[in-house]
Amino acid sequence: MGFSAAEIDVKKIAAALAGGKIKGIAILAGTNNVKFTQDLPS
Amino acid sequence: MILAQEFLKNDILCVSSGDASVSLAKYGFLNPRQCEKHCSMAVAALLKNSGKNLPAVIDLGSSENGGVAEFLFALAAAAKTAVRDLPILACYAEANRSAEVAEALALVALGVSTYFWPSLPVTGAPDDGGPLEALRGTIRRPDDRPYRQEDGAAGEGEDDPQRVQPCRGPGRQRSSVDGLEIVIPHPALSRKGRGRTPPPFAEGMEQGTSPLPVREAMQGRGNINKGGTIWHTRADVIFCRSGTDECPRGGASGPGQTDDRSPGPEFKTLAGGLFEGLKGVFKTAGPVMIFASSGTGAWEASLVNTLSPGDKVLMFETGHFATLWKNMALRLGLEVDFVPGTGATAWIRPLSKRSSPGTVAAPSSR
Repeated sequence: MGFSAAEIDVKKIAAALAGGKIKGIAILAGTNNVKFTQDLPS
Repeated sequence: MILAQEFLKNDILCVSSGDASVSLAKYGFLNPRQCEKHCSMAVAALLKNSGKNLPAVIDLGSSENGGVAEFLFALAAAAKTAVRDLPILACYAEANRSAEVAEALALVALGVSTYFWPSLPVTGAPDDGGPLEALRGTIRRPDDRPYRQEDGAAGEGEDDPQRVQPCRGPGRQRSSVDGLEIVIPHPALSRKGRGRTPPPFAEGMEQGTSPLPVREAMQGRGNINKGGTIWHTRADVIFCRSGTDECPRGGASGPGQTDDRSPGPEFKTLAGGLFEGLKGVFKTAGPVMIFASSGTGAWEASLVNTLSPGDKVLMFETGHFATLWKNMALRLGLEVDFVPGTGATAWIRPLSKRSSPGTVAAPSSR
């Protein structure tokens, strides 16, 4: 279930961070509460 | 959802784990076909080139499998730097299971800026700032003044209604301590880019200290900011302990003091009375021991207290955790007759529709 690090080209992600193509990485976890399944704003 | 949406639009790659993935999947963030819909061009291009069928948010599996740590270590190795030096932020909103708590703690120990526990705004709640503002380094009080460290340092009994956040949900009102909330943003995620912008709570707090061992942080021996709720473990990390969401303002004051729920002298007195009372519940004159554990510990306790090695048990595959429990039973020497599920929806199908279980011998005398 889910992706493993082996399935992700982390070298390209590292290069994108170093080159400024992306600003950072966010880890989203722990929202085991139904209220966070709220509707997205229009 | 909103966090993911904003991050992805602003060139921040997102990964997820645990129950957050469920919500993200519901809105298509884990669907590779919707990758470009959710992402900026930069993130979409990176995802396209970094793996097969990567969705907008890369799900790294459940909290128990170590997928996040595995990803971070691989990334750090590829970048030839330490995890703490990468522009990474973690959001463990309302993480209240042991696996997620442990994972959040581990990330703090690795030096990752980690948001932990305080509730995110819910539908219909007042818009008084929140995680997104925190991530931008612009946390503000309800009266629109920027938060400062001293906002959380008032004495016990001090009455400042502005320091109490509006009610966020049924029966829930955050204390001023939790009002400080959220996170010290990693400078790379602030509006000023990659410069070493001082975090918003930095005034009056120690800077540049070495990361505290997690054990010390858990015991509150770090730089405690009011009531031991927030530990300033290093320059860019604040860890908010779970469980103080509804802590009264007076009870939260007094740095270094523990509350009744912590293992201090008062708790010992309270627990001692409860242990005596439990003897009556369990109809025993002997001492009662409480085995504090996660759900995984309850699995083990239930098996070793009712079965012996060699006993035969019937177990059904009703989900991922059922499989883990089966594996535990095997390691404990039990003989498991495991009825597997078949197909992607097997876990939610009635057991009566499954294959017939084998014959299970009568249990032992226990």
